[in-house]
Amino acid sequence: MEFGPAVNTIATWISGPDPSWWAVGIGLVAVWVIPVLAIVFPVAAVGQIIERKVAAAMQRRHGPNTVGMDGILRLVVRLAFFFLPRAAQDRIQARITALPGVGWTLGLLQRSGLGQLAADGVKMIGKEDIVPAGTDGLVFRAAPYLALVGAFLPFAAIPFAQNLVALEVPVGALYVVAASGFTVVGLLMAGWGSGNKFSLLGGMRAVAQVVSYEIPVGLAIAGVVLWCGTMDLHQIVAHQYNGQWYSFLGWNIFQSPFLALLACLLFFAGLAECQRTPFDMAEAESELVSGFNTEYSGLRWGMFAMAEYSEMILVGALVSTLFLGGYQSPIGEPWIMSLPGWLETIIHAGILLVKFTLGVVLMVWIRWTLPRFRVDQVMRLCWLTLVPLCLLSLFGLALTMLLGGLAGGVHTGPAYGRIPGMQHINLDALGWLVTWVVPVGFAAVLVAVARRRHGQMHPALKQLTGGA
Amino acid sequence: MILAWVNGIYEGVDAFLTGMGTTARFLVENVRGQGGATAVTRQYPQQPAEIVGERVRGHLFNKADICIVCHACDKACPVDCFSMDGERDANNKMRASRFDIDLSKCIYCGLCVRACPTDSLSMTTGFEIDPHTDAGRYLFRRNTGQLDRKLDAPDVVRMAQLANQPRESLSAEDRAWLDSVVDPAGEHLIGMYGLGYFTPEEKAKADAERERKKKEKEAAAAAAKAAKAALEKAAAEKALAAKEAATPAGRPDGGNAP
Amino acid sequence: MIETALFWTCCLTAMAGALGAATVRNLFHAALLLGICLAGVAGLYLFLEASYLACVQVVVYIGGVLILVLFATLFSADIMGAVQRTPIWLRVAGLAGAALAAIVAGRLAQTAIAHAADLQQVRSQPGALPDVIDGGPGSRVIGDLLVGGWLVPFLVAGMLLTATLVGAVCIVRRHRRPPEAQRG
Repeated sequence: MEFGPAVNTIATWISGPDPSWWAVGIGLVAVWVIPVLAIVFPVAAVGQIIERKVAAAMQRRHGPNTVGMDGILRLVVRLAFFFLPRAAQDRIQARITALPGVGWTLGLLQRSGLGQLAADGVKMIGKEDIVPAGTDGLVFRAAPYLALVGAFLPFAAIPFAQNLVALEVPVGALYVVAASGFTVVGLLMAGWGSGNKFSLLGGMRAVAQVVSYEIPVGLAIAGVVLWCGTMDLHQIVAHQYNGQWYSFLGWNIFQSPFLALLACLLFFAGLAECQRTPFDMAEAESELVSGFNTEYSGLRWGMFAMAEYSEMILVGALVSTLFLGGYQSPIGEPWIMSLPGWLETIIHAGILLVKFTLGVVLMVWIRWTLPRFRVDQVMRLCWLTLVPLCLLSLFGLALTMLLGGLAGGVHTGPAYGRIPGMQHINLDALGWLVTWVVPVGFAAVLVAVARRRHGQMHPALKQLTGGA
Repeated sequence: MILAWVNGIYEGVDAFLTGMGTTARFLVENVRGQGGATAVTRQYPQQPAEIVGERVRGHLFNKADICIVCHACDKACPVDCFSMDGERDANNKMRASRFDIDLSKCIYCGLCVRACPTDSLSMTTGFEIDPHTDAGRYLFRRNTGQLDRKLDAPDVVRMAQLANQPRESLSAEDRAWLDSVVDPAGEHLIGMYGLGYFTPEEKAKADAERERKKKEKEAAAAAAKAAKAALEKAAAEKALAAKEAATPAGRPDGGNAP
Repeated sequence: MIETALFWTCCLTAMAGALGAATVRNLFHAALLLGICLAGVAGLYLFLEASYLACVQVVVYIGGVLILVLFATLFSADIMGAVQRTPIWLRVAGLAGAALAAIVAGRLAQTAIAHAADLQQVRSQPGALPDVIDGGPGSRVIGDLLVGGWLVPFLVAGMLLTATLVGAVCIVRRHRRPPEAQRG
């Protein structure tokens, strides 16, 4: 494990060659903390607004549309023109609002609910941090921090751009899984430390669920590792570049139906790992009040919420990195690589941001579509559906690679970025077609047979609906 | 067994995709509707509440002429929102000289109505106490002629300020204005419609009363609208004249308003 | 300098965690301190340039074993208020174990100091040590070994663990007749 190139560049720039440890620390802050703060944190915060707006739209409601920026504008005017009488300040505010575009923008901000974001943040920070009497002091207090650490550590290894990665971990994919494992310890500590039976039940459910769903996550990542031959996330991203203008066809998800299936499985298992509906057994409010965070309030509760949304983003970023070409654009790379370095970094980071934001929106969409599963259903889904499907996909993937290799499909791919001459499974059009048609056709036949054999309506239901 | 497993997965995916399609359809319809037109939520203070149930427990309404100031409502009230004074009238009957209901305390439970021995206290269907609309009319004593006069928020503030000062210290203009909106001898805490009823006869009576009031109100609104239009027209003409007068003085743009 | 400081931080964290896990009365706290100890050990692996081992340490021991220990703690009856009293024989055994550990540690340190110069010399020669511990190809070598020459022992170990788990489930399962009405 070593620091990313940008970290070293910054450190060298600050204190010359062979930089001292504090220069490296500054570089680490610049490359890890600042991108996380600048990219992940706002998306995590805006994610809550996205969630509420999407939920409202799906339920024929408006969502947050009342708290606007008027109050903030008023505050600014009051502070800037404090020497004027109140009426004059009001008139100035009216003038500003009437300026072309300002009123429109304020209205848009109000309707989009972004003002709610600031209001919620202020409310959360201002709330009293209550530590109830029966709690296990230090455990209760430390739990949110651990959850937040587990949510933010993995981002150190996610490549946001060619050079924008804090830690060059050779086993990046494994590191992400490992680092996110701290969250569940935090949940368990919260469940125990609260001294509340509902919290305890929530924590136990969280743990049982996360430990189970680690397995499909691990298997899905293993599929990508098998296909790319590396655990380094940078190299996995580079591996997905086919050198054409239609470079999206080089993404792992389009390489094989098994990889596409693994992407879906990783997404759903990740959904379960971050305790989102329909897998939110840990905070099932109809059964457990609020689960593990029942006793939390104020900023500590906010940390749990932030950890949840950060984990959603992490799942989105991981799926994007492993299956959707990471920070690459879908229409080839030369136009980005020809730009100056800083612009390239920004564009790549922006592309990854778009990708994982889409993932977050998809999660929100799923949340407001599916009802919550029962505990046994969650376990059944994991062990009887996801794990066997993962194993089947792994097997099919290995078979594809074996046969593809025998058919001469292995080529040395185009050099991209810092990793020249990587091994590619670079199938030609015919091989690609075969890779897709054979498994999909087999699955279609299997499903057709299964439908014919088992697809009839349940007898009782048939009787009810008159055989329709 | 394997086939059953495959079938289960197929059905699960099928159901999942159907559900996602349904929510996506709702999402698209809602987003495409102009300003959230398909959302069924009413934006209450901006959009008026048109549908109010007949048995809604709204404002309290006290018919001051039959109230005997027995304090039964005061005793029944769980939140102490009543305060009242009484005096003997010419027939030696007890009548209310002051009957205030603090609507910011009232929880609309209706216990006072049950307690009232003369049925002078009843609950209306009006529930508007937002001071930005016309709440002021409910919070001060007003006579029948003043009831339908609309008060804006600055008027309410002014009224509260003036009413809290000794009458002698007010200027003549303020006193005249205050008299035009508040009548110290008027009915007390009057809702717009006295719609408390508990029997079918009372309901029929109240319905007829409401219809009549509604018609009256519509007529008044039409008249007010016409008057307002005339007023606006006059104001526009005046402004135009003023602008024409001001233009040669060096302000051709008439201010920098966009 | 900073590396030395971090190294000692990791060492002390691991040792303090282990000591706390062995001495703290509250079972849940002991399990958490065990987690701190394991995290410290993972940090030590990082200093050995074995990031793969460090990640596996976290995934398996903190994400798996520790969680299961905590889970078992939570499932234990009357754990909230129970004060764990240490029986006298366990104290004696603990002292004996500590003495043994001290002897072993002393011997290890003696060996390490004696051979430090040799190790330094070997390390300085390129290609003298197999590239096993390095992060990139090292994990490849481990993988090759695990599914190559050591495949059978690896699988047997897996089978053994599975059998242990199944056996544990069989032991704790309540023996009762399955209700017939539920089937069909």
